[in-house]
Amino acid sequence: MQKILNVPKEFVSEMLEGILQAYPTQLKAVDGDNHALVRADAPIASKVGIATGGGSGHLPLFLGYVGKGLLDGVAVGDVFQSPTADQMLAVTKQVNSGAGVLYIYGNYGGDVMNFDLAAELAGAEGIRVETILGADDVASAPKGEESRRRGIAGIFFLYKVAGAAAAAGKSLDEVVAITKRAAAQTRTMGVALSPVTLPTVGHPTFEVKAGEMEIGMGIHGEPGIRKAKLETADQITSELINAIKSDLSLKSGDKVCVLMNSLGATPPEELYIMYRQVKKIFSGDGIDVARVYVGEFATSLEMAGASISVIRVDSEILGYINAPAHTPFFTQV
Amino acid sequence: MSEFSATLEKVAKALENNSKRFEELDSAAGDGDLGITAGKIAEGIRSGISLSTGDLKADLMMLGREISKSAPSTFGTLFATGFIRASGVVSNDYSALENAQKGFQSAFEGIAARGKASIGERTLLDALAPALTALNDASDLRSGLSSAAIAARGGAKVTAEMMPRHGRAGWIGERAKGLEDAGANVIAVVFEALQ
Repeated sequence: MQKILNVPKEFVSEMLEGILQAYPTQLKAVDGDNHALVRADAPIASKVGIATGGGSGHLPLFLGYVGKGLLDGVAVGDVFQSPTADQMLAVTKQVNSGAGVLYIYGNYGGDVMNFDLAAELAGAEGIRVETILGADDVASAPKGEESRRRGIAGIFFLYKVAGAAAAAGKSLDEVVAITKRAAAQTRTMGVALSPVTLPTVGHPTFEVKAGEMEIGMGIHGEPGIRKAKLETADQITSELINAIKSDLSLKSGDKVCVLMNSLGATPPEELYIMYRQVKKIFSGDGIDVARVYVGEFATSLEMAGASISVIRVDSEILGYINAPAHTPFFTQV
Repeated sequence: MSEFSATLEKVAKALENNSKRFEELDSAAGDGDLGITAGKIAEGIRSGISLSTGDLKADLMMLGREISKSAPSTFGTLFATGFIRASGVVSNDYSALENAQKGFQSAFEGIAARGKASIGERTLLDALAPALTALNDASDLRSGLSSAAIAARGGAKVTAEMMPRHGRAGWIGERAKGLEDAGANVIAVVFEALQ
C-alpha cells in the first residue's frame, strides 16, 4: 500500500487533527468531537444554518465547503461510512441561529437514515430542519427514477447556491426553494480509471483493470454502466456530456455552469483536455457556458478518473453561483 | 433498579448472549456485523438505563439517543428510532398495557418509514408486526408480552421463506432463502427477554 500513514485506523482522526491545526481561525470542533465541525464563528446571527455530512475519503467534500458563503457545519464519518446521528445533531445545534437549518448531503442509505434521525431529534428540541439530497449521478439510476440516484460532485452547485442564498439573508423556505430548483437542474457523469485502497483494508476492494475504464462507477466503487478499453479524452468526454445533455434535455439557448472534477489521481492537465471537448460540443449546440470550475471537488481517495457536472442556470441561480465564498479548501472572490 | 430498568438489562444481556447467532445469520446474507451491532445496542441500553429519570417518556427518548450513539449502523439507527418514536406517544405509566401497545405501534411505523420497508420484505418488521398484533389482542401487559414473544419468534421463523429486498441481502436474492432474517431474530430475542 503506497500511502503515507501512521496507524491505518487513525487515518480519519489524524487527518481531522491536521485540518483543525491548519485552519484554527476558520474551523472548530463541537464539544471536543473532531467529527462534528463548524465554522469558527458559528452560529451566524439570524442566518439560515447549512449543514452537510458524509464519509471521509472525498476531500474537499464534505468538510472543505464549510466556510463563508457556503456551509456552516459538517458531520464527518469514517472512510466511506456515515457519521452518526448524534454527530449531525451536535452540528445542527451549533449552527442554528434560530433561523432553522438546511441539510444538504448525498443520497446514500446510511447517511439518509442517520441524518433523518438527527433532524427528528433536532425537531424535538425545537430546531426546524429541512433536507435536500444531492442525487445528480445520471449513471446510478434511469430517468424517471431520479430519487434513487446517488449524490456526487454536482452537490457542489447545491452548496454554492444554498450557501450564497443563506448568506444573502434569505429565509429557510426561500433557501429550500432555490436549492431544490438548482438540484433539479444539476447532473453529473463520471468515469473511473483505477480502483482505490482503503487505509484499513490495505488492498483495492474493487477492480478497474489497467488499460480499462468504467463509465458511471460510483465514488465508493459502486458498479457503473459500461466497462471498456480506455478510450480517447474526446470519446470519453462526448459520452459523459451526451448522457447529461439528454437527461437534462439541454437545448440551444440554455445557459449552464460546468464543473470538471478529478476523482483524486487524475491531474488538472487531463481535465482541461476534456473541457476542450465539452466546450466544442456546447458551442456546437448553442449552449452558453457561463462559468467553469476545474479541479478537485469530490474525490475518491487516489482514484484515477474524472466527472463532469452541469447545472442549467437562470439569472438568480447564476447570481448565487457567482457570489463570493471562502473556506479552507475553496475561495472565490 | 426499577422493574423497567431490570427488564431492559435482561434485554441487553440477551442481545449479548445471542450475538454469535446474529452474526452467523447476518454473515450468510448481510455483511456479518449484526453480532457486533447487537453488542453495541446492549451498551446503549445500559447507558440509557444509567441515565433513567423515572419518567417513561424521557427514559425511552434517552434510550433511543444512547443507542443511536453507541450503534450508528443502519440496524442500530432503526432500533434507536423505535425507542424515540415510542417516547412520543406514551404516558408515564410503566406497567400500562396501553403504553406498550401505543409505543410498539409507533415504533413499528417509525422503523418502517425510516427503513422504507413493509411487511413481507424479510426485515425486523416481520417479527415486530405479529408481536404488535399479539399485544393488541391481550387483556393485560404480562400475558400480552408473553404472547408477543411467541408471535415474534414465529414471525422470525417465517422470514426464512421470504425473498430479501433490503440491504446486501437484497442483492443476493434467492441465496438468502432458507435462513431466518438476522434482524427479525434480534426482535424475537428482545421480546423473549421482555416477557
